[in-house]
Amino acid sequence: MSKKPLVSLEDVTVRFEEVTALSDVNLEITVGFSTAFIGPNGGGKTTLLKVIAGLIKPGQGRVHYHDLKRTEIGYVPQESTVNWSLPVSALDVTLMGRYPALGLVKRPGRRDRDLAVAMLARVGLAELAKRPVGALSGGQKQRVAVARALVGEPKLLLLDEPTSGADVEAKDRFYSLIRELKEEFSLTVLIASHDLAVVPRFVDDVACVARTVHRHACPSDVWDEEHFQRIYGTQMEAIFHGKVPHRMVEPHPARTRNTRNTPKSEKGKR
Amino acid sequence: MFQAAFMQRALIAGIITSVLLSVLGFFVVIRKMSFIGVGIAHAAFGGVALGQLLGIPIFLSASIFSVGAGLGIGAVTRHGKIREDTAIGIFFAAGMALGVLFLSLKQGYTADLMSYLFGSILAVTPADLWIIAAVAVVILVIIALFFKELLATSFDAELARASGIPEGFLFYLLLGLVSLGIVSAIKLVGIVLVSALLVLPAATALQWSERYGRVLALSVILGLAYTLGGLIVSYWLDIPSGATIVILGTIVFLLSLGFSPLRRRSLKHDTTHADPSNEVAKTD
Repeated sequence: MSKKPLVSLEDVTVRFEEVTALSDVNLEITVGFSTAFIGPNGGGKTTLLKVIAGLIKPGQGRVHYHDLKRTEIGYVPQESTVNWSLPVSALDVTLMGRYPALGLVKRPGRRDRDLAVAMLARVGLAELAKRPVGALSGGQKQRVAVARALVGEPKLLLLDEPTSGADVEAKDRFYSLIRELKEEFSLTVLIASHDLAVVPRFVDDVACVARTVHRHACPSDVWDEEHFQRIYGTQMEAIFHGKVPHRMVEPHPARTRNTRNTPKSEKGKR
Repeated sequence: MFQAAFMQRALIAGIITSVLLSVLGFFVVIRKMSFIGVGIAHAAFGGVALGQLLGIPIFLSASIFSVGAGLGIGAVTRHGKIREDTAIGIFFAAGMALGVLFLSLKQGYTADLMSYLFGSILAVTPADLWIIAAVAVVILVIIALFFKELLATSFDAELARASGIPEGFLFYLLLGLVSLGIVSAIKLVGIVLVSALLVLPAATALQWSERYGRVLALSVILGLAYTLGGLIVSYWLDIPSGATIVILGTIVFLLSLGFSPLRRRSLKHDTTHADPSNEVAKTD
């Protein structure tokens, strides 16, 4: 695959009051690649996605979009930011993904509806289209959010902590789906997650976000034991595959950690 | 009873304002801004008193105060470091305090005061009726035009912003419309009670449906029923109209809370809606 850039960040710095969320970030998002932004909580992953989505204007530096309109960015926010008590169905929410294409005032028509129905079916929620979003499970909500993002026919898909609270099996299924959708719709995908255990296996590229962005590997001063403990709430050992921690397990008394594959990373998260 | 001209005007004003407030209330309730209505209405008291003091049209002075308070609360909570409930508490008290101050400056007769605070069937003049109708038409047309955007921003403001919807503009627009809607209902139901007419229909309708079209339609029907029922009952029993409307609405709300299908479902919660085939477990 040729390495055409889709978005480039140039010396991007973002400050909130006194806190520097991102500092001198230089990053090139390549067309057709999926990248996982991993890193500690508060490391700036969400901020980075929002900068790319155009929601936060960086205090310094620039974001260049190469042949990418703002409406061609599909954004799946953290579940917690959404008002799930709204009296709308999964289909209504998916249909909202068509609004940018429609513009102000104009109502969605037959074609928009058909697209939304098809996209819900594609993420495996055909039967739940009429169900109120508030009645869906966490994983179903995230898939509705993905359907909503994709129905706007984006080139770039941004996912912010899409599987927080899910178990490992469910995460595997979710990221497999994302990988399929990426191929099917020729997407470029960015996933922010502190989930080192699962996400890196499903993406082409891993970058560590801890105020700055490090491609492929996190420097050891970011991923020390203390950090794992802070993130996962329990003492963890990382099994490294190359330089990226591949699996996180609780320390075992015996040396069985490579054969026994029992990740407990979801435990103790929030 | 419908022969009396004041009663006809009260009924027409009641129909218009209850449709208007029910539609506005739908957005207020789903966006969890109910308390803002209380703040805006009370801030309008300052405008009512200023209008009386200076002899300018009260609809105008009250609108300036309520829209000012509505946008002010919005701006302070959006850009400041102050929480929304704190901002409402401050605007609420400041508006009332200004009202008391203005009234104390006015010499002599201020008997209308009670009717502004608690509403009066007798208070609606033919001129009021025209103003209420015009305001209602303008507000409802604007809501109809931006309905899908208002719905999307209510679901997730930031996501709406990311998809190019002018979310900030719509936020202030809605606050402005709610403020004007409140002022148009003040004569009939009063400053103290108007926010109930804003909140009760939608809050009750949400007990019965989770589909926005139905919730909206039911809100309007309930709002009409409360207002017309309340006006008629208050006429027969010779009791204050605003209070009667609100008490009627509250009774229906409480009954709904007890008997609604959604409440029964939410008591069982989650398990009824689990989808084992492709479930992503929810652990939080």
